[in-house]
Amino acid sequence: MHKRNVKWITVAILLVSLLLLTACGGAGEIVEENENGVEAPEKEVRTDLIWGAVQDPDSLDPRLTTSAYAEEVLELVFNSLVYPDENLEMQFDLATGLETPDDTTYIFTLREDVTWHDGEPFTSADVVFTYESIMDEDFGSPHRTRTFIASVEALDEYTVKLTTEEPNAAALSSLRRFIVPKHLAPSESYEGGEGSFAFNPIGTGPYKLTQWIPNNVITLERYEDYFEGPAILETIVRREIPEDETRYAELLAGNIDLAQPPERELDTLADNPKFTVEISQTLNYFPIAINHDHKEHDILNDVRVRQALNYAIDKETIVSHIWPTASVMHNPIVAGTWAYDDNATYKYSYNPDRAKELLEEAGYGEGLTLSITMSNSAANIQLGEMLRSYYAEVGIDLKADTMEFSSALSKILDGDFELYHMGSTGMYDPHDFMSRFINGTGVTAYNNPEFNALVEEAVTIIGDLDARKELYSQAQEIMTTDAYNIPLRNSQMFMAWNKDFQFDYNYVIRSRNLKHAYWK
Amino acid sequence: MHIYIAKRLLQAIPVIFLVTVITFSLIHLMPGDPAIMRAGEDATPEQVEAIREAMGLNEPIYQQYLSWVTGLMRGDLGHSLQDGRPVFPTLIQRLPATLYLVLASFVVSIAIGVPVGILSAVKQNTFIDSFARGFALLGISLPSFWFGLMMMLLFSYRLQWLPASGSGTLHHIVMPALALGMASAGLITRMTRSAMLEVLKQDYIRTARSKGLRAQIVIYKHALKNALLPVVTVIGLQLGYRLGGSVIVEQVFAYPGIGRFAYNRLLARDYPMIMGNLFIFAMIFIFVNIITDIIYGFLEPRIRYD
Repeated sequence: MHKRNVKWITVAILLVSLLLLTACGGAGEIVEENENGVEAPEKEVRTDLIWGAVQDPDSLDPRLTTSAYAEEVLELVFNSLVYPDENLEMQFDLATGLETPDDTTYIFTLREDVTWHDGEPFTSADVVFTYESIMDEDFGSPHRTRTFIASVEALDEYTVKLTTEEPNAAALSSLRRFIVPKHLAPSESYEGGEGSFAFNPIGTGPYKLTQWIPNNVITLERYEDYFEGPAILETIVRREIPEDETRYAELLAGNIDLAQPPERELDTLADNPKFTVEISQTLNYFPIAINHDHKEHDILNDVRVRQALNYAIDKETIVSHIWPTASVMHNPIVAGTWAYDDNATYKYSYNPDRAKELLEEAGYGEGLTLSITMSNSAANIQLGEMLRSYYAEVGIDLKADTMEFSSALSKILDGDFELYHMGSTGMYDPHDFMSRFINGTGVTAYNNPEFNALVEEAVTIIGDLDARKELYSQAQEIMTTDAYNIPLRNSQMFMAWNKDFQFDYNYVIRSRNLKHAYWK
Repeated sequence: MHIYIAKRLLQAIPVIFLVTVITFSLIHLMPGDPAIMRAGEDATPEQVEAIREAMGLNEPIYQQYLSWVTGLMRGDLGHSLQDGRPVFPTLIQRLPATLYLVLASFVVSIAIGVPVGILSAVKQNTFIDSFARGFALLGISLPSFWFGLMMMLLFSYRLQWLPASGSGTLHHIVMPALALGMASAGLITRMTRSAMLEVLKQDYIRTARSKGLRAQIVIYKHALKNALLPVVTVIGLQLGYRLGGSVIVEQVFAYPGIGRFAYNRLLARDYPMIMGNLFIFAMIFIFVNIITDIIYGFLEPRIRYD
């Protein structure tokens, strides 16, 4: 009696699956059509780029963001007075000349052929406006304390004078801030509804923003009147694809042309003849930082404890296991940059016996409990597990306190931590690295008078790189023997793109070079 | 009936008030704030403070609440602290994509769940039944992100039939809808099965069969119609889980819905955007609840609106 029903139901199920299959099949046909379409008209050269990005910018008002994901877009839309090249030397961008009559004055001559994307001419008033709003405390720019200038003034329409309070060798590289148009950008940042500049910016760069749908797509179109002449690619579509696996699948399927692949797929991808893979050193520094001013105890103020923390872990093993492309760092200055001094850097090799001795001497022979605060990324959870087992061997019970990023950041900035693990980025001048550890003003509150004096003196030396380097060498020696923290790694950046796409990528220049990129 | 609807709407007012208080306090109780996210990882305390001041986060908390609620009453949900976007239009713009996804996943879960549930009940204690029950259990237990990634591996990576991310065409919706709909498909299978078994035991089914009616008429006309009520309830309740579950699925498939957006703004602590989003979600819930209650009356005339 039920037989016919069963048949009927089976038919229904089959129909549903068939429906789904036709949907799938349909997709297949479309892909094939596309492939044919591309191949048929005798290799028509593409003028667009589909870029699979990791994360959305937070804001596209360059004065209000420090996000690397915002910067990779801003680099195409805006220009700055100067910018660092791959050797970290500053090159002119909107400026054509620089005069420094004394050690605290920078007089820039500006290009006269630059226009904003709305057609208005770019003048010194825009530079003055940009730097004034960055320096205005009420504006709340995160760049304020990272821009070392005291005043800015227009000498004429195409000349600006910037001054610093003291001679400051890091001032020039801090003048890489993107310039915004005075006639459009707001002078009050968080006034609700004041304008749409932060999501609809107008710049002077090779590309203008035509569309930004948050957490979806940013479309950039070539600016025909760009002062260096128009770029080669006509449109750049930047799609946000947050999941590594999804982005990788889309890259392999050819639905996106350029993307950051997952780290563990780099070897496979390097063997794939359809892609170019580039691995580039970053200026990012990821330490396990130590709190030198803990509110409840001074255990970490004992140099023996800090040294023991350094000796107790095998950094090489940890880094190569969790971040295969990264390299171990020993102080915050990236190895290979001019200020790094290998001889002056004390490197703590893995030595658990020495760690135990030091802890014994410091009076913690029977054990010690510490905690580490960090965000809950998969890598950090792995790190927590490895650290726990290394430290358990020397009698330290380490609690790995992982939480969502912004909660972790909040705890760290409040000084509510014993150890933390998080990265520091955007450091072009050694002072950017070193100034984070002077006078107890940094997040770790490290404060060594001898070290402070050296760093503060070094930054005032302008023009004599060797003299400056000598002081940084001494500083590196002090901070590393002092075990100011537990340096861990310098990360690498990796990008992969379609072999037919010609793109010169490196971490410092990043997307800036997209203006010269083209399809074969 | 009209009085009932009016009553339900009036009852919604204190609920909405509570929602505003709870969302506001929860968000401000969360550790981390937008100023910290803006300042970055190496900021000094005074820098964070300056940004906090500029963002207006240093005003007393009740004052911040009051200005948010007064804005709300004027229909103004404010502006993002992150990029200055107006909250309401930005969220509303993204809502259709998510509703479309939720709808598609409904279609998937009903199209799979109801027939498999019926089959399983009719063929109770057979191999087909065990298979269907296993399928239901699997559907409920599989995490949607994992199922999504596995589909992606097969259909995007190996076969290259479907795009792994984005939106716009029917092809884009297939995998997200399946990933999101699987759990409810399992649940609906089980609900349909147990409701059908219950009904199939009833006297009127035996009567219908002994009258000599064809089996499919007995099953679809007599049994299914009566078994459907609990299933409809479950489907209604599932809407909430779907809206919640859409966050993960949208993230995995880079689908431009409201869920992914809300998730990102939550991580960035963009207070006005998060509150606006929670408020809109709460309104949808209240609305759906009222609608479900009303539909109930049509399906089951014995339910009275007193």
